[in-house]
Amino acid sequence: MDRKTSLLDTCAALIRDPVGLGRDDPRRVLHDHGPVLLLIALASAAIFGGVVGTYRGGLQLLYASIKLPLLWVVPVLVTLPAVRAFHRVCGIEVNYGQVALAVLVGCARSALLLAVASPALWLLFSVNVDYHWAVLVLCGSVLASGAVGLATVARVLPGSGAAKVLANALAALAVGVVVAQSGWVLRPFVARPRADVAFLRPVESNVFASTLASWRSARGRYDGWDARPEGLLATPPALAKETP
Amino acid sequence: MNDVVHLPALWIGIGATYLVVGATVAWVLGRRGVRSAVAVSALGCWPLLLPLLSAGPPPSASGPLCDRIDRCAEDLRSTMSDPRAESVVVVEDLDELVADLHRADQRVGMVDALVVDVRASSGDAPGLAALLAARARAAAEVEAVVQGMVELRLSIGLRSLAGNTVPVQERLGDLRARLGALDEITEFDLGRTL
Repeated sequence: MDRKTSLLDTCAALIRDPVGLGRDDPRRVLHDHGPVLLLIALASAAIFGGVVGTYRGGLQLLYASIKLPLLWVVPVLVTLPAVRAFHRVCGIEVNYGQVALAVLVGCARSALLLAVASPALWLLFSVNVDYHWAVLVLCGSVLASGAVGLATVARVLPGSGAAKVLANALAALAVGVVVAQSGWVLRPFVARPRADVAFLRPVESNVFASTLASWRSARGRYDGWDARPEGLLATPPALAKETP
Repeated sequence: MNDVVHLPALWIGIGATYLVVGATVAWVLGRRGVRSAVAVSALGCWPLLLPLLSAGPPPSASGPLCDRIDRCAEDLRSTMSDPRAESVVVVEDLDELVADLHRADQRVGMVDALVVDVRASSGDAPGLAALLAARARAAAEVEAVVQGMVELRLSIGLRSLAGNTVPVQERLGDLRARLGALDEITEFDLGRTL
């Protein structure tokens, strides 16, 4: 890549040739393009969050615009050492700079794709889609763009053969679990139209049980929603007020 | 908004530790002279920017004439795209020439860093004079090509006034060929000297 690139150039490079960003010295690319890539990731996720917030409207629009960027960036920061460890365990020599750059490029690219898909989601939400279907569409969008992001990370990082497949599968599993649970902790993104707006809900149950319950509810079976405080970071019941 | 969540001490502790580490990383990066945007990014996303803490500043991609090349290329690009200039738009050719110029300039910059390093560690090594002569020749050639870009711009202006035929594409090709010949000249010079 040329030394001086605009925001638009970096967006184009992320869509057309993300591997090209990883060809140069990682430290130099992080220095020259790191802030721009971060800005793209955060701004794109905020745009997508804003669109998700339109389902409820009002203050939820702002809350979702703040929380979606957190959902997109925080798990990536947390799992960075794990991604490197999986590659080294599988015999692929990668340094921390290569992993940081690959993960940043993957994160920015997937967030950019979410922003690009936002008008379609907006259109869907504007036709009064059922709440549970809205949640599932959100999960599907996040899953699809996350898969693209992880594939990008795999392309940017070195390695080949079965070792690379295994290392990236393990990395995808770790990142996927952390993203899913982070999303659960940061919910609600899609609030019910008549529900009170809240920035965060008390931590209860876990993301996998909730997704299954949402799937059942979307099919007309409204059971399995009994949740209880759970996990290391769960708010003690005595401290959390009752939610309606 | 009647749903208030009380954050447990653990959340606050983790958040505060994260921010303190971020502030420290940003401070260290700031002292090393990185761009302020990088230091500010490190406040929130320091795990991604930790590689920049490793010894030494990040390797620079630019050579000594980088800014001048960019300025001349920008000027020529705007002249070419001016509708009043009635010029043939050959942006791709210009982009290739600019990329070649930057590559040659980066090599000059690399030699500059190498010379400083060698002088610091071993004084005036025997092959240093030959390297410096080759460096001066390469830098002069890059300068000449940049000057050629300025002249091309003037020619486009002349054409718009007098209707002269200026083969812009061919002139750009000549400048690229001149840069391409630089490697051969340097190789010949070094072969004669060493």
